[in-house]
Amino acid sequence: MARRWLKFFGFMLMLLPWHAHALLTIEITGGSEAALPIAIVPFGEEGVIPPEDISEIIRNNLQSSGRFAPLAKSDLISRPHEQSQVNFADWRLLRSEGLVIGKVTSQDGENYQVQFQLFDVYRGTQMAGKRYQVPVSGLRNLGHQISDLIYEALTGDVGVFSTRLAFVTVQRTADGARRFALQISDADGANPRTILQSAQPIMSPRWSPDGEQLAYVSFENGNSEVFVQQLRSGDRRSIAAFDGVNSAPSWSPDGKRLALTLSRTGSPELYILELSNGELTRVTHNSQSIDTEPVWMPNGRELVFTSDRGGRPQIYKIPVDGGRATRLTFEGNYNASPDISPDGRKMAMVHAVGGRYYIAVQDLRSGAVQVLTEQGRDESPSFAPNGRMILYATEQNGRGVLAAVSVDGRIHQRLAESGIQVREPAWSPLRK
Amino acid sequence: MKLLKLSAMMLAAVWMAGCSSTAKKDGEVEGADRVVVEDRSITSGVSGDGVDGSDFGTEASVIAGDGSFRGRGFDDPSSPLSQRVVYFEFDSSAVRAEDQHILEAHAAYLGANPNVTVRLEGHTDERGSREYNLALGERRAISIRQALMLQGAGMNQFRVVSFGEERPAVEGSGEGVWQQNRRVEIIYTGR
Amino acid sequence: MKHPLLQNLLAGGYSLLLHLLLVVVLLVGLEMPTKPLVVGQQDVEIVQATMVDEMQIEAEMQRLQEQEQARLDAEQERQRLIEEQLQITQDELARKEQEYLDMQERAQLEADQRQREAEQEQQRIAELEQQRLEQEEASRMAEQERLAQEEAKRQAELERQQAEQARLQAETERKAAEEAREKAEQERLAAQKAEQEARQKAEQERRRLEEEQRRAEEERQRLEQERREAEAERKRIEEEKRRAEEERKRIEEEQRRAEEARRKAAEEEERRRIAEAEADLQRQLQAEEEQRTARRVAGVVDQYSIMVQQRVKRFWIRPSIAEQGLQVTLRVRVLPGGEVGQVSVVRSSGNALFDRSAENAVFAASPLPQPSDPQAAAAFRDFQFIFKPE
Repeated sequence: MARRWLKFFGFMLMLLPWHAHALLTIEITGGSEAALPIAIVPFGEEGVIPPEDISEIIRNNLQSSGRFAPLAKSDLISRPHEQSQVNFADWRLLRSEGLVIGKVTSQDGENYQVQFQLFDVYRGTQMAGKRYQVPVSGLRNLGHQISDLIYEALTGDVGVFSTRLAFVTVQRTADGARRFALQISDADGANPRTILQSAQPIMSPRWSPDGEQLAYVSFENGNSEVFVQQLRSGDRRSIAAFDGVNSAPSWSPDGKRLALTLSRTGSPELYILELSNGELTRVTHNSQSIDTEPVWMPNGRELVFTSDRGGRPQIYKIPVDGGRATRLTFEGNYNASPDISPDGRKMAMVHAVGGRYYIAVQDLRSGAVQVLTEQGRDESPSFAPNGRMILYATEQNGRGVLAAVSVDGRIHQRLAESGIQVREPAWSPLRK
Repeated sequence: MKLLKLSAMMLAAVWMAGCSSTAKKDGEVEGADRVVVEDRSITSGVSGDGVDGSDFGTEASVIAGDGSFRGRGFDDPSSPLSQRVVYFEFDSSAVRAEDQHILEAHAAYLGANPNVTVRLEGHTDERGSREYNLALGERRAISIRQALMLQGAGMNQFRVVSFGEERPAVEGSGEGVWQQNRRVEIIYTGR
Repeated sequence: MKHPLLQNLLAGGYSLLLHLLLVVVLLVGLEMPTKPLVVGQQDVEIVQATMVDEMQIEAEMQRLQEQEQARLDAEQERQRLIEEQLQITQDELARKEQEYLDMQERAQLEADQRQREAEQEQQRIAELEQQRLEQEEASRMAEQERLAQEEAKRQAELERQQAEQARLQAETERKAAEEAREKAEQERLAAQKAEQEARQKAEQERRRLEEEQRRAEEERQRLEQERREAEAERKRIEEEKRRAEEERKRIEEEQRRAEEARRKAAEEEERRRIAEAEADLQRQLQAEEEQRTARRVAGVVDQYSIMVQQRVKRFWIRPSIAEQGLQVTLRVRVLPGGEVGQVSVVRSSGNALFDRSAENAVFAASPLPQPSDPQAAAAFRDFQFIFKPE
């Protein structure tokens, strides 16, 4: 009898999941890192019409980041400019997680009042919102700053829309001569401005950690020579012009030193140049091999570089104050042009497979390599300051263009094109 | 409550002020990025005209001062001295056997004219790392210098320069283009 | 049963009748010669009368004895019959006892005991009978002796009377007139005496007969008593047997009752078992039904779980986070119609952005698929999600 009851009880227990106690639990695995739907309502405009459409800048930024899917303007149910005009239920139907509204006001066309608000549509709460007063020249940059705030609020990652890019362009002049230029643009590739022009090649621009200077290689004096240029003033100075190769500058994390490749001894070796006094310290001593492309680890104590000491170009790591170099790359017979992510966990590089050159990322702890690009003519990878994207140069229709790929390879971006050859991009640090 | 609201508004105002000033500052910065026009004339051999043969002409004009050689060697297509570009295999700096006679001729010429100087320009094809190619171009140039010195040329007759892949002889892609760009140019610069 | 008693009574009555008849005959016989003898012939006739009388008595005695014998025989026959009957009864009893031997140990023991007692009783009755026969024999012998003595006395009396007669002859002769008178007187006296004697004798005889009769009666009564006792014994035995039988029956009854009770209990148990089995079956059927329902509901729930899962999964846009092993548990309350009413974090992943992405997935998936089955739908009113990238 007791057993029967027990059985019955057991049976009841069996029924329990669908009855009172245990809640039905559904497991959701996977998901995607797809673009977040977001509604960006064109900002209201009062007074003088601004020359820049801030909401459009925001839209483009978020869209191009690959992490947002802004609703088409035609899908916007309404066009509120203030919170009181927002009906969240409507926006929920559109499944947009965020709603961006704002307003631009100017009386004189010189100064603008800009305000924006980002709402959590599902919860009906404000996630971000600010008011600005900017001169007309600051409107575009403000659009990037607002983009950063929205991006950060919704993704948790630092936005890099207000950062800059440096790159080298090559143009044919009317008389057929080549004209090299070092340019800086907004992070979206727009608004390029030239900071150096030369008839001779320019190579390897590198941002100082404070974003105030660029180091680069110029052949203006007939040989490779390393310069450091102040962006604000345009002042520049040659910091390495020895016999042989003077190249591959890389700023130490503290911005006080430059790692370089110099072949003044006859073979390319890594050096560290103390910027304050010009003191040089040789790091590698390997006359039989090419050692180049040094890049600092974020800890400032090690350099990662390319060397063919093993026969083919591979990437190694060596302590700044000398010591044994350790090889980092083992996949494939050609790995070069390392760049280290800001968190020091990942290394972007050029990885050649079958004569084609791809951007790959290697996990520095596991050593796992993920090839991120497909084009096969990709080079010069440079991490975004938030570590999410890798900017690189590739070719399109025989012309060098800039592109970016997310570190997981999911998001691919092509940067704004100027119609000229673009190469050797470098992503600036975050604005201070 | 009202006080709180007021203080919040004041805070916002203060913040706005700070923000606007930041934005203003940035705008100024952007506008102030000065364009440096690098206009210095470079040595004649490295003119802005590129590497499509006009180089040699320029160089030739420099060398043209030594007429005895011009007619006999440099301008005579049958003379090895007329060949002043040596080519390489991919990612290699080794002198090919078929180029030995060219180097022999140049070495002999340099050996006979110790006050003549040459610039050895190393180049690579576009493939791979630009910095690595810069080093590789240098290595090629050094490789040629080494060969010439072994056959009589003096150390001080050379200047080695690498342009890596930055100055291709031929633009474009494909092995046909690349093999023309993997090279060392022997440029006579004068005495 | 009463037959032997009746027989005895009849025999007794018959015997009494015979005795009475005998007495009457004797009295008549005495009177008839006496009256003529009054005239003068009374002596001879008296003697004769006496002799006749005695012979009659003897014959009577003989007849009585024969009757007695016959009665005894009858009695014996009756006893034998009783015994036979007893025997039969006992056999029957034994047989029956034998029958119940197996089922009633105690009854058997008692029956054995009773049989033993019956046998003893029988033996005792037989011994009593023997004693009685011996006593009867003794009394018969005493009677005979007494009769012989009486005969001798009568003989002596006769001699004495003859002497007396002689003396009286002489006296008679001597006293003629007187004697005649005296004789007459004496004759009268004698007659008187004779009459008296006869009367006495008759009286004695009557008494004796009465005594005899009484004795016989007593004997008969004793026999009757014995018979009654035997009867009582038999009855007692029978009673005992009956009792035993009753006891047996009672035990049997008890056994039967017990058996009945057991049977009933078994039946009851069986019935209960069946009922229980039926109830069990019913319960099982119900349970199965419930199980079927549960299974069906579970099936529907499973099906819709997958649908809900697929739908929510479709809307889940995970933040790109390097952190591994994030997992958030959400509790979701759904309004009728499937609209997501409330979403709350039960166990956070520790990463607010990750949590939010899961919540948003649920919001975005609204309305969630709802089964039409109300039981299944209930499961989707208030339930949980666990979100994890892998």
